Parts: sequence; structure tokens; C-alpha cells
Amino acid sequence: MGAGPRWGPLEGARRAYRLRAAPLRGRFALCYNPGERPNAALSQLVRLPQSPFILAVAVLAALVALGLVALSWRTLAGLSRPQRLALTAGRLLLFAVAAVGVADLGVWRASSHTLQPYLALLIDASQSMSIADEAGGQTRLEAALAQCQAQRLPDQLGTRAAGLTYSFAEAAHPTQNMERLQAKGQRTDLVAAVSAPVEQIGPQDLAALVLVCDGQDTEGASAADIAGAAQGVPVYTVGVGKPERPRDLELAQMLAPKEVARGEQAVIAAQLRAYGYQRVRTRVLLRRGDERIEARAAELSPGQPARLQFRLTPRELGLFRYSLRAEPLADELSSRNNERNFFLRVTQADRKVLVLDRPRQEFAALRRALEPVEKLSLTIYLKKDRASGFWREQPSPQKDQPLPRGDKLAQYDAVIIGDLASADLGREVLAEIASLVRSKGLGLALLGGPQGMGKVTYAGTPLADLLPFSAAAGSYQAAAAQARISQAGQNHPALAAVHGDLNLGSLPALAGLYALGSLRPGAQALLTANLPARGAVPLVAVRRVGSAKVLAVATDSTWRWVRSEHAGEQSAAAHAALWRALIWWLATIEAEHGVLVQLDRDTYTVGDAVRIVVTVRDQDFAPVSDAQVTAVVQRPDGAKDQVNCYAVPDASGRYEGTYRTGADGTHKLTVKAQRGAADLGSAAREFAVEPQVEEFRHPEMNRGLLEDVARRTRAAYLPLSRVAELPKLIQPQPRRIASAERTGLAHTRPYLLLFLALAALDWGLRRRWGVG
Amino acid sequence: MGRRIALLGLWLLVWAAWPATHAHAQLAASPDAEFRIARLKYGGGGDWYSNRSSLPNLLRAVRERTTIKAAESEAVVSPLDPELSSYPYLYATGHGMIRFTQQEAAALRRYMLSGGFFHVDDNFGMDPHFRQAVKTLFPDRDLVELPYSHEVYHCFYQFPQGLPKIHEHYGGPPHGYGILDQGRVVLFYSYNTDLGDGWESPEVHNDPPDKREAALRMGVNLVVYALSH
Repeated sequence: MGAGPRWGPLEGARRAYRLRAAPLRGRFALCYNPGERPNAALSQLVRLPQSPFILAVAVLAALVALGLVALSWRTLAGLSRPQRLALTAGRLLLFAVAAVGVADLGVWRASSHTLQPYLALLIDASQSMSIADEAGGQTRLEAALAQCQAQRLPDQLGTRAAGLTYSFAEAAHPTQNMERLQAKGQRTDLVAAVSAPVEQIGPQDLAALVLVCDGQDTEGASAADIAGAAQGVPVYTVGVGKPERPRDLELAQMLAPKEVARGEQAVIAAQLRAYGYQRVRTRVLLRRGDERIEARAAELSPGQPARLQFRLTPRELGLFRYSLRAEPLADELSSRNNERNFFLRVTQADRKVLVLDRPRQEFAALRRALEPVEKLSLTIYLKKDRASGFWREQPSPQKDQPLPRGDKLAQYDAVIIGDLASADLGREVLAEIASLVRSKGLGLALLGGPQGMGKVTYAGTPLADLLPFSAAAGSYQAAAAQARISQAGQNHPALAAVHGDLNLGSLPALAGLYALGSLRPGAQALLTANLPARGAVPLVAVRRVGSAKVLAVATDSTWRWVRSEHAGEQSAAAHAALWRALIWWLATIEAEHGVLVQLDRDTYTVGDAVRIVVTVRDQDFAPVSDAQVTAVVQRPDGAKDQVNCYAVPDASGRYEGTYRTGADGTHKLTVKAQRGAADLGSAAREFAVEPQVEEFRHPEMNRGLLEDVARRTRAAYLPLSRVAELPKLIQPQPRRIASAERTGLAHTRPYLLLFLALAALDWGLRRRWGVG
Repeated sequence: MGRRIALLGLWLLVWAAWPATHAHAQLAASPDAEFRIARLKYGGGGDWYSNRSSLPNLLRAVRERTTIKAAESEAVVSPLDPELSSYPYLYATGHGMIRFTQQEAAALRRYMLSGGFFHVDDNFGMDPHFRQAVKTLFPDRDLVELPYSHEVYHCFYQFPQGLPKIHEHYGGPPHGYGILDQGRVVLFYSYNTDLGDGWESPEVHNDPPDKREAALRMGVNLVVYALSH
């Protein structure tokens, strides 16, 4: 049958039940549709068939009945009139009874019963419940559990099913082993705690909630929020802990930068407060891991916070966890709020670039392009004459300055060698540069020019094997050469951000370039230029050497993009953008494999979700969409968790995964990508997870909040010591539930007996009167 | 037999010489590597062509004393010459009138702001006209006298007292003025010294060797400055 009502304006079982339960109580009603409840008045039943289908069936049944009467009358022609009438009437009655059975007509019987309401006992299991300020040195949780068990609170309150005792912190969960609860929750969300039983049981079936806690809500909920979450259910609150602030030292505030450049100073400001003490002294220690960085004495007076400043100058790149801890005072209730941790990412400072060249147009144009770039620090040495050494250009030109060597050379992130003969630099400097390229990741650029690239002076030097080209020198091909960005260049991270704006096709032609032979394996031509006889030849090529980057530019004519007949503002901007992008990339110390991993931030709090975004590119830096990406997070204790990363639709080469943090400390994320058996590369980075310390910000019990919640929900507040009074305060009333039960007529014994009796009567009369 | 040996020896000689020839081909330099000064053929009637031997002598000094591969002779360009922008160093001298049309001024201004270096050398009598003309070039900027500590006086040779005095014209000390763009001197005006006179061959003005040397040194400084900024 259809879902719609057949017997009157029913609007759904639940609503119909409520509307009609009362009139039905103790009475019967006849109904047709077994899926629906009856109308209250039998009088309605008479005129109820409303559906055309039902009407048609009824008409059909009446016709069949008439046919049956006529047929029966004719077949009983040999009998007397009374006999014929009796048999025909009996068969008509039998037909009617069978029709009732086929139509599954039934009867409704109204009834009512009582329902025992629920009571939910909610026990706070957050970390603040580990504060031992209850009698006998008990923690708050220990005292709460002891009281609840001593008073047999669940039984006394009349809870009648398992699952009505909840523990809560960040969320509430039913618990059956109250005695096993531990105060480990990192946050307290009282709204979530109250909402859980209300939503699971329903407010109409909950007589009351009993909230046993210290009243500290780390989510900032107000009493109104909590009372609102109860949806009208009374919330009896039981306060655990002392409402007065205990003797305590608190590292109340700390301001620390999240990131600092290597070699720059980071300032950490802290504010220390003491409660319940007169003048006291303590020491505050700044540590990085287990290493002590600095200690400072602090003197505190009542109501007067001590303000401290620490300064540190990190020298290593990476993410480091620091802690600031005040030494505990005597009789201090809890030292958990004496400490604060912070993570500091030490990043590369200004990219330091050493430029070695001689006075020439190409150098001057390069200098004008690079000098305005913030965070790119150029140190320029120029070979101005053959007789003397290099001139150091900054802060003012100084003659005969030795080139940086050893540690001074190692401070640079990249070295640009312009148009110089290898002899100008000397074999030892070249060997040091090559060594730093291989060992430290020093970026190296060799620029075109007649003294260097135009001669064979670098062949056989330590630099020769590092270059992207097979030859360190080549003949100059003088021809108007139009630079073009290659496919590899479009995908390459060096130019990824700028290639769309370069519009190299509109730039003035170069005067020519040095033919440096073929590219070495692994090298890529980012820019090419067409030469009349040779077609496209590499103009700007790069190569990875370990973690280092090596760049070669086979021309000394890019200045023509700035100042030549066809140059303009657009081409000058392209010149600057290209050189800035190339040198910035060259000088950036960053592991750069086929896999790039990014996180939505560096620092998380326990329980946060870490969004991992992985970009996979192949050797030509083209996005890879069919890779298998595996991410593994190593927790501070060394345990490893695997994170599934899935390809993002419509984001070529991009994969995402989510990791839920569970422990504080530095986590190491390693991501690997494969395509079939081919290894596409890996990437690693760290992220920091900070512990939740909000639980200990306010160690006193928040009695005001608990009283307010109880008042707003028309319940009562009790201290833990008076918890035995709760059963008297809460008097849950059983709820009377009215219901109606349906019985199909065909399934009743009288119906069956009636049917059999009529059939037997028909059979008996026909046998007696000799009818076949 | 002897003929065969001779042929073999000739072949060996060719074979041995070929790599050297090939290597020599690699030494071919880009034209952009060659530094050439452009003399400005300006309007107004002034003798832009004066001091004819000066620039070749300066170029020789640059070639011999620095790592700059300088050409032997100068080029001559007018302000609207498309070739102007190919030269990093533009030189103007004369004794009288110098004038730029608005179009010429725009071209010269574009040249300087895009990296070119314009040296104007007063050869006596040019000063009032040039000071007028420079307003056409840069209406919103003034010539400023460069301090003696400026790089142009120290980037190769040391001139602790600023510009050297080569010729006595107006009396008093020489002055080096400049117009700067983002800290870079784009126009240098040498006044009351006549550097070009000092660059001339000795027989032209019979300048004492020390004056000629001082002028050449200052010229080298200006070229080095132009090619390193």
C-alpha cells in the first residue's frame, strides 16, 4: 500500500500517536491499513474509504458477492426455498469472512505503560582533575571517584542501564569502568560533555544530568552555553577542588617568535606570577631540548608579575623545541603551569651571494637587477686589472683584497663567477668552491664571457665536472638569438613563479652565445636560443650536484634586454625577473627532489589535524598524477604512523593526507613517491606539536560557573563533600507512555473458528440435503 | 721513400696544428665583450667633434691598464641614433652651444635610466649651455656635486681631492657633478678641468705628462665605474 494515510488525516506515526492516544485508551477501533494507526471515532470508519482503489476493490467485492449469490441460487435449484436461502446466506457470509481475511482488516487496542527516565552521571577526566588539592592529598579525580563509589551514586540515583555514566574531557564517552578513569584529557569542553547524553538519549527521556567536575572549561564556554546544551534537562553540578587559588607559580605569558633567520636574534618575553606567596625568588631556565641556553633570576611580590626577556641567536637551520621553565616554589600545588614550550624555526637569513667578475656591461646590468632585491645580499669582487688582485666593491672599492676562503667562503649561499679566467681565481679557490658545492650545497653560477666561457681555462679545473654542459668552454656563435623558455623551464621551480610573465619572445635578440656542447645527464636547459645553423641550443642550463645547484648562462648579452634599440620597460623587467629568479633559486638551500611536501603550518597543538600536501614531479619537473605517495610520521618517541595520501582531483601532481597529532614534540614527516617500481623521490620535513597546557592555567575550581549552570537549568550545586544529598534532590518521575496495539482479524482464533464453522456448516447442510 | 716521409711529416704537422687552430677559434669573443665609447653628435652648433685624439687615447689606456677589452676607436652617435643604446659610455664635449630637442632628451634620458652612462666634459664655454640643456634632460633633478669620497674618484685610481685639474679655464678648482638614479651616477659632468684636453695626444696641447696621466686616470675611473654600476 502507499505511504500516505488511508484512514483519515494521519501525519506520520509519531504525531498520530500523540494526537490520538488519549481518545483510544481502553477502547477498540477497527482499521484497514496495517501500517497505520486508527482514527479515534468508529463513526469515521464508516465513511473512510477515500481512495479510488479501495472503492474499486469494494465495488468489485460487492459484484463478486452478487454473482456468488446468483450462482448459488441457480445451482441449488433442486432444494426448497428455505434451504436455498440458508445455503446461499451461509456462502455469502463465508465469502465476507474470507474477504476480511484477504483485506487484512484488524483491530486496534489502546494501552499505556510507564517509562523509567534516565539520569546521566558525567565525570571530568581532564588533566586539571589530576591536581591534588582534595583532602588527604587526593587528586580531584580520585576524590570524585571515591565519593561516587562510597555513596553508590549510580545506584542511588536510580540509573538503570549501563552507559549512563560518562567520562569527559575534550568529548564525552559512556564508561562502564568508572574506577579506571584517569585524568589525561588535554582540554575540557563542558558543552560537548553535556550535549553527548542529551543527544544520545534525548531530552525527553533524561530526568537530569549530574556534572562532577572542577568547572574549568578550556574552550571558553559560558554558563549560558552549557545550560543551552542541556536542552532543558536539569544539570546538577558537583564541584571538585578548592575554589580558592592555591599557592602557585605560573608562567603566565610568553611571547616567542615562530621563525627567525639564522644568525639573527630572537627575543622571548615571559611573565611570571606567584599566588599565595609573599616575596619569593626563583630561576627561569631557557632550554633547547636538553641543552641549557640561559638562566635568569626572578623576584616576585604579591600581585606583581616578574617580566623576563631572553635572547638567543640560533646558528643552525631547522625546527627546534625550546622550553622556558620556572623552578617550582616550596609547597607549590602544581608545577605543570611553570613551563611553556615553543618551537622556533630557524630559516635561512638573507641569501648571501658572492659575485666574482670584471667591469663589463653584462655585470653592470646583473648588478642593477640584483641589488634592489631584499634579502639578497651581494658581495662583489671585481678583477679590474691584470697586475693586482681583486677589488672588493663594498662598502667602498678596496684594491687587492683577498677572495673569501675557508669559513668566510662557506658563509655564502651561492657564488657567481662572471667573465674571469680560471687563473684569475686560482686553482685553490676553485677547489674550495667545488668542495663547498659538493659538501654544503653552495650554489654555483658560471656566466658567459670571452675570458671564461670563451676560453678553455676551466677545462680540467675542479669546476669543470660540476657544470651542466659537457664542455666548460665553446666557440662564440655571433648571431641574433631569440631566447625561449623550454618545457623543462616552465616546470622548473627556478622559473615556475615568473615564466608566465617573462614573455621572452618579445625581448630583443641576444648578440650570440657560446656553444658549450651537450647537456650532461641530469642537466636541464631552462632557456634555449635558436642559432641559424644549429637550431635550438641551450642558453641557460641547470644541474643538481647533490644538494647543490649549478647554473650556466651561455651568453653575455642579456644586458641587451635592458638597454638596446628594441629594449623597453617590459624587457628590462623581464631581465630583472629572470636573473632574480635564477639567483634566488640558486642561493636557496632547500632539498628539492621530485617530491615537495608542504604543511598548512609548522606548529600544532596536541589533537590538531596536520594537513599534508605533496607535489610530485618527474625528472622534467612535469606533474605526476599516477604516483603512489606514502607518508610516514615519526613521533617523538620513535613510533611511526603511516598516513594515506590521495591524489587531488583536478590538481595535477598534487596529493593530500591528514594526520591527527597525539603527542607533543617534534615530529618527522617523510614522504616517498613511486610510479610502479620507479622511485620518484622523497622529501622530509619536521613539524612541532605543542602540549595543551590550558588545563593548568587556572588551577582553582570554578565554583561560580558551576553554580550558574545549576541555577540556569533549575537544578542545584553541591560541593563534593555533600554529594550524598543528590539522591534526595533528584526525584525522577516515571513517565507514562500511551500506546495502541493492532491485531489483524485473520490472525485471531475466533476468525479462524468462524471461517471453519461456516465452511463446515455449508458442507454439512449440502450433505444432509443431498446437494453435490 | 723520402717523398713519402715528407708527406707523412706534412700530414703530422697539419694534424698537430689543427687543434691549435680549433682552440684559437674558441677564443673568438662576443662583440658585446668589446667596450667602445660613443661620442655624442649633439645639436645646437657646438663643436661636438673637438679633441679628436682624446677618446682613442683613453680607450688605449683602458685596454692597457684594466681587464676591459676596449676597442681602438670611438663610435659617433646622435641622440636619436638607434645604436646609441648599444654603447655603455656616451661622451659629449665642446666649447659652446649644446641643445637637445624634447625627443632627443627623452632618448637620452631613457638611455641613462636603462643603464647607460653619459659623460659631459666642458671644454671651456659649454657650461652655461649645458646647464640649460640638462634641465631638458631631467626637469625634476638637479646636478649635484659629487663628494670626493664618491666611487668615481676611487674605483680604480685614487683621487682624494676629486677631479684633477687639467686645464686652466675659469680659474678655481674643478668640479665633478652628477645626476643620480637609485644611487647610480647616470650623468657625470666634469667642469673646469677639461679632461678631454688631457686625453689628447701630447703634441696637441703640449700638456705636461703628469696632467695627461691624471686625465687618463680619471677617464679610466669613469669607464670602470660605468661598467661596474
